[in-house]
Amino acid sequence: MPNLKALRKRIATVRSTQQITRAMKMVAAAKLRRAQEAAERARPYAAKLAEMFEAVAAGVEPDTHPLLARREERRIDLVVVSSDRGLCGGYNSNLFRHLAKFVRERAGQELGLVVVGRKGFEYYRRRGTSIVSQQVGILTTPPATMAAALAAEVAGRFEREETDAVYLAYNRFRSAISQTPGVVPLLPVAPPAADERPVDYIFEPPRLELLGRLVPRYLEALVTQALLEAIASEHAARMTAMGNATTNATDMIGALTLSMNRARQATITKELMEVVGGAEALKG
Amino acid sequence: MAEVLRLRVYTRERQLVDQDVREVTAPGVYGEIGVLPDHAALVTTLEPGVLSYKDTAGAVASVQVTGGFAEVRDNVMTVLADAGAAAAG
Repeated sequence: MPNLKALRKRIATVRSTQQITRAMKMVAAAKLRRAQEAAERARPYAAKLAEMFEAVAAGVEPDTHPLLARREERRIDLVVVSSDRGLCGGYNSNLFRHLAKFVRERAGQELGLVVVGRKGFEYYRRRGTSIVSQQVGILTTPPATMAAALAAEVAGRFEREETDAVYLAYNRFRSAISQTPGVVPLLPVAPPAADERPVDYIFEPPRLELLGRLVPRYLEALVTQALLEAIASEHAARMTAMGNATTNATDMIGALTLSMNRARQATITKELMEVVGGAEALKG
Repeated sequence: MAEVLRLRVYTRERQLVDQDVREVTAPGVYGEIGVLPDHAALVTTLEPGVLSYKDTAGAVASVQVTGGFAEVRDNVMTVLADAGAAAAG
């Protein structure tokens, strides 16, 4: 027979945990909304920059800019955007599982990881994967600042030929209930196909110099968009996980309350029986 | 001949300007660039400075930019500022 007092204590524990998970869910929901808005606001800039890049880069040869240079992919860098904190369901593990597949497919290549987020760092350090660098504070650093640092780092490595290609892995934001891990190529930057009817632009400064300025900024914008999406995904994943935890706690409290009442009932019945039994015995 | 051109100014965080204007003056690499309606297609980098424009009513407004890029095409001027803020006046 479960002890009444222990059950009561257990219920109190679950209830206080539930209060925490419920609060975390609400906080994540509010942050998710803000993150979505930020991603939404940043989208036009990225889209226009891509258009401009296309206008300038359309039809240029890949060897005109170091970041466009295509080499045989013997060494690749992978930028992994994970979270600093847990309690976000499968957010990190889904990404790592997806990446394990990506890495298996490229078994012959030397892999270097640029890790964003403490979870990713701990995971890959444990597994002994070669980590080039790591960053924390995805939720506290302005995304544009972090993106600039990341873009500069991988661009530097690519230009020094320490890596032949750079990929970016993060959780894509599909909706508040669906985030899917994905890997996108980052470097070399793919020059767009030449336009059918090219617009006769005046370039100031000359085209190649302009391209030289545009490419790093374009790279930065790509990373920024990915970070913004990853942030939204993290909040969404945490919201879902904490929502589930809250529901589970409710179920658990229900089950525990039931067994507590049963135990209480049993105690009362037993005591009654004893009283009745005692009275019967006295009547003798 | 078009009377006005569309000016769109974006920063990484948000859109600053989206309106019809008569004239734009931007800090280009080789000095100030004046853009009027029906300007030739142009892509340029911007230096840090003030981008000013005259709206359809003739009032002048300006935006601070810290550098960036600008494209003019089909009477639309798109400015991508690295960072920017609406300046007074």
